[in-house]
Amino acid sequence: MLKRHIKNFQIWHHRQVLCEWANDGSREKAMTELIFKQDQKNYHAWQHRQWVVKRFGLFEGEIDFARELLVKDVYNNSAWNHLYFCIQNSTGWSEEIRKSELSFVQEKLEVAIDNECAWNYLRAVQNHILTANPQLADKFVSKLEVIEDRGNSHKHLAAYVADYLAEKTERDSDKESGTKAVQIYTELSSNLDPVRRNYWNYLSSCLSAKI
Amino acid sequence: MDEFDIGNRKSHIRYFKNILNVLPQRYASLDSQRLVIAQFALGGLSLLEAIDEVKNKQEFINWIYSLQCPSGGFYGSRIMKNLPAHLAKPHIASTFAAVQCLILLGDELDNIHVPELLSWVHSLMNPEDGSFQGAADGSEPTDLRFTYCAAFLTHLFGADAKEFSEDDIDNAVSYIISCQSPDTSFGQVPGSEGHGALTFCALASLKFFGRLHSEHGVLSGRELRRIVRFCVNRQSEGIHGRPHKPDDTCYTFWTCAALKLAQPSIEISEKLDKERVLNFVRSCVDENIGGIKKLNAKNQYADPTHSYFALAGLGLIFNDVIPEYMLKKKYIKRVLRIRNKVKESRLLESNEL
Repeated sequence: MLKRHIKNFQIWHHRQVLCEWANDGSREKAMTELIFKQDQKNYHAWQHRQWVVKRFGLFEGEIDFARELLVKDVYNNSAWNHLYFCIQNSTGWSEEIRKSELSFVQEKLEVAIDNECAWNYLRAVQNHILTANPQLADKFVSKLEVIEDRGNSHKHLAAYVADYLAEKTERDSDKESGTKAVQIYTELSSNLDPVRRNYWNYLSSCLSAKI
Repeated sequence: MDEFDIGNRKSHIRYFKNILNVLPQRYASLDSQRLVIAQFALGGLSLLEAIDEVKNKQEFINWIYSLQCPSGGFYGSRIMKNLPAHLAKPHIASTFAAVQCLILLGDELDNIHVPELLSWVHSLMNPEDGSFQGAADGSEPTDLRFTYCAAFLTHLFGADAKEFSEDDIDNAVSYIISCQSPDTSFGQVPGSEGHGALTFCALASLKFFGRLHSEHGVLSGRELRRIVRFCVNRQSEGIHGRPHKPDDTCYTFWTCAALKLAQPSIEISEKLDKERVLNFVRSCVDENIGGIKKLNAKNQYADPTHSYFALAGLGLIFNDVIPEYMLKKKYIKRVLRIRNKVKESRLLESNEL
């Protein structure tokens, strides 16, 4: 029944109740994988899997499972979310884990620089404070310069660098960073991301007012 | 207000009117949620400035009130009401839909059993974590959408400190925050992937609870800017709900409403390309039966959900819909008047007692 109605909220909850009564979640991972074959990003199946994994302590193998899915489709936002969830609820975010996840996401960005999920994950691992890791930020700044020289950049990379420089401007009252950030926001507006030109213009004028 | 035109206005009006009369067989599974479907149809007509095409408004109002449960809340349909007593439970989404429909039909909400409704809403809250169930039978998981319905209802009907205390609000708010995902958008339950619709539910709930952009706001300026970025990134041509998913017309409302709530001082058109959104929605119009499809594909039909939310989204982008109320601006004055009237009459009642 579930396979015919994979987007029905009640059926998934019913299944959870049955697992509770039986005190047994051992078959659930395999069941969600059947659904993922039809629909890799099925919201209910992912939620069910997370519930099972947390409720029955079945975290073993989950991080690898998420990573394997990202090999198949690096743009699978559900898999990125699951990866974060598993680390959060099993090993936790030690300094060492943060470092290794930063390497992992950088690797994935090499594969696909236009992957918003990976950029979001990177920011999440950094707790959204881009200036907390200047070495990493400098690495991206230089990457941006290299890509720009080739006459080819990407909006997410540019946005990351601009955000970092904007943060630096506010934190250190650094006018030079501010000017550079405004330049990049302008480039985003006019060239790299015209769909959001109004938004980038807005950010650019807000920052200009502060420098 | 700017005007928008997706063409085929008459066929969309016909589509929504047909929905009010009879649903096609493929929607049989939605029979338990007739009130919700009615909300989409009446909402759609209101967005097309065609609510007066409904000639039998009083009949509808009577039908809605017939679904009110004496101990609070509304059943989703007559079938739900007529189930055996231990199964017949009013539902919070149906109750939200009932109130929306009554407002759209011009009713003054005088026949709502307010104390019972508020007590029932409170009973749906799980005191352990602040989440809300949809109905007392526990047939669904708790869900931020139900928090939104609860926030709307407690705000509109002026729940006092006895009915919904500051501690209750803090509890509900802590649950909302626990649903925030790593990319700063909000998911259905803690740990879930964030997306546009639930981000709307989170922010609208916080607004109704007085915890958004207020002295007691729970989201920092930085967090709100990140949420704005998430929402703004949801435009390809039209709008979608999660990164690297295809555009879907219903997110025209959800994601744009979240965007407006996260940064109310700036117009949506200052952040998104509204012409592209409009063109996408136009491309999803069902030329055969009217209404709007989820996406632009030949094997898709229009459905009430996408038809309504696409129009609500355009109404929002073109500056005529208030996001947290999901209503056109012209209804808000009356809503606020009803809110004050309910407050005053309840104050009078409690003084008399």
